[in-house]
Amino acid sequence: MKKSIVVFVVMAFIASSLFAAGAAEKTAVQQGMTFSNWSGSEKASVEIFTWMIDTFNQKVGAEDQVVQINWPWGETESQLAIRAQGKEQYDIAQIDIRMLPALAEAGVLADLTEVFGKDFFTSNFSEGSIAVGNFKGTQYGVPWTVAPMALISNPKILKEAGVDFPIVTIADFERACEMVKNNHPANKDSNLSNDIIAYAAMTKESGTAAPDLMVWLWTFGASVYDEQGKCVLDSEKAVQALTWFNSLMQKGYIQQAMGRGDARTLFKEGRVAFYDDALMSKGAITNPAFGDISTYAFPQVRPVLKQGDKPQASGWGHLLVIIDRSPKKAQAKAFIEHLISEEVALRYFKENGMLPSKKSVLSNQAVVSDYWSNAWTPVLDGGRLAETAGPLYAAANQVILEELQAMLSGSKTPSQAGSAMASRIDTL
Amino acid sequence: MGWLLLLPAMAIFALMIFYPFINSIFISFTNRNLLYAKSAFIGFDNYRKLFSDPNTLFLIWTTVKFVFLATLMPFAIGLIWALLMNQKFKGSEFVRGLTLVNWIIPGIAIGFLWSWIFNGDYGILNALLGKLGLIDKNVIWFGGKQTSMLAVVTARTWQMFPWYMAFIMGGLQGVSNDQCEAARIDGVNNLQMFRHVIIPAIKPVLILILLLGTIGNLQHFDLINVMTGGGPERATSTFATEVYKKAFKEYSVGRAASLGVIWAMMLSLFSIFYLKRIKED
Repeated sequence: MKKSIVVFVVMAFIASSLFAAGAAEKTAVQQGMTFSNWSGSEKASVEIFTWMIDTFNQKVGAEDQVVQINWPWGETESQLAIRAQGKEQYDIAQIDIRMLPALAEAGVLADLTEVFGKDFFTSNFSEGSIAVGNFKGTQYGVPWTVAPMALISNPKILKEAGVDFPIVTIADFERACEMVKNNHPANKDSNLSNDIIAYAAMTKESGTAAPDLMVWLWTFGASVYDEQGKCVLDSEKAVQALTWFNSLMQKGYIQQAMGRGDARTLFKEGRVAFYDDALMSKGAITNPAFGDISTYAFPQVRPVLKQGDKPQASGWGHLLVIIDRSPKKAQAKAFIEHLISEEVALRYFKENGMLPSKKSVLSNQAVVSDYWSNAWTPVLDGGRLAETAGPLYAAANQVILEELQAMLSGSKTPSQAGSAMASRIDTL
Repeated sequence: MGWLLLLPAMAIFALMIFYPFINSIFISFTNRNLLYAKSAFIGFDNYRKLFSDPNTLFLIWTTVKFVFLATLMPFAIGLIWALLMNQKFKGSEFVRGLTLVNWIIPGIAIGFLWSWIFNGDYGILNALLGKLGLIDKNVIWFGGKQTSMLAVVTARTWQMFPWYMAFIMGGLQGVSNDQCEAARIDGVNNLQMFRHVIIPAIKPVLILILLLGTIGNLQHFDLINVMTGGGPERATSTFATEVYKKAFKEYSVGRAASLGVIWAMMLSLFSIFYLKRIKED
């Protein structure tokens, strides 16, 4: 009898502890507002995010205090979707622009035109910035920092290789790659540890390889999907683009197993002539040993197929969104306005290099006089969202990566790879 | 009273193992997606897609290849190492302890360590081979299908051979000294001693660790995920990496669950062998 009482007490204790933990969590979440983001947990941004939130909290009452919840970038999309399905309260979130279609389709996000009014967007942001927060005609995101990806070159390496012409067309680009590979002194000596890669194109991870490849597809006039939503990576233009990309591998300008992190590390060490990256890469590629960044890093638009074509670029950026189930949309609006205000946006820019998106802040002298953001200006016009963005983003990108790797390793011809991409994506 | 005492354990088993397992089987018949709250019953659609996908067969092949190599390699090295460590030389206990460090280090850290060693552009392996004049240009280890499998298996071997060594050493302690001495008097050489005395004596241990090693490698995830993510061209994909990718990257939980059910069936085969073996012993 004694034993059964002990067992009963232990089980009752466990059950009540679990209940109490759940209840405590619920109470904590229901107070104030929650701001989910990934940047706030990154070493470089911890301080500025704490400051952003603290300065807002000083202005509002206890019921509107903001607390942040951090997930890694790669988990943000799924975490927001899963938690929105439950009863947890989430009010504001930082999302990557490529997450927008999936979260909008899942019904997680609030229509911000209803919260901010239509004039708020047109009077504060450029058309291009507004467009990245729009999905199928509904404005779901406030642009926080938006700038397309650029082709970043190392002028020092190009000069040492004898490249003294501007890179406008892909013919120029190929010529420059050839000169780097064959003429650069580091590629002629026997030391393998200082070899220079002409173009560190993404070939390792689906999340970077597929969107970067898409820009080359667009450059050749191809696309992933046609207007009916059918995958057309087996089209003549797509195969032409794939054939060209494959030729870069055959000529030794690009290499297998290259990820964004690898490319940044190698670029920082002065071992890459060209690679693609976003504006926020500045911190990752800055190397004080090489002197001023303008001497070894120059962002430019991707080359075009022929003179006069519009340069293509992949969109990149962070949006601020409001969760549709949030009961505090007006307060969330106030918090977003605080984040994009001149004082906060300028400090975020100065400390982390995040380009403001509000027109009035963009024209600030501190932004205009900055080399890195200035160099980015010609790139700012373009920027398309990856065509695969949406619920099938990861699956479609994975197919593209696998077939791309098969082509680059010689297992498949460009035509076979294009056909396989098209048929596999259509059956996802 | 006995049942009442068993109740907490049974409740934990039901909650932590039985319910998720049954639920996974149920989910495998639905189109459950992490992005959406609602899902529908779709019968055998997930299984049909799985078996009509040529990649599934390739996945089974790469899983079998990884499990075979990642079990046999560390087993062989562990066996040799255990035989060496079993010789009572000065410092053998220290070396034995040092060997176990590999096994203690977390898999993620080992993954990053070996990723760096095998990195084609700044890895220490290429630098070493270059200095020795064995290569005249960098080898992109993670770019080739065979070389990436080699890299992953090497890392797994480095991580696991101490585990095999520890078990085999346990078995070696049980080999009768009298029997060995008798064999020596009969004039057997080292190889004969190994084949006809030591191996039969430690055979039950060897079979058990091979079974446990196979089960462990069938479930193995962290090293592969860190080093190759299953690539290139799926060359290092295993059931573990594929289920993770389907569920948490592509959000297709229904498809992941169907793959998981097949995987569980494969695992249960080896588990049955293992349980049978234990019962026999």
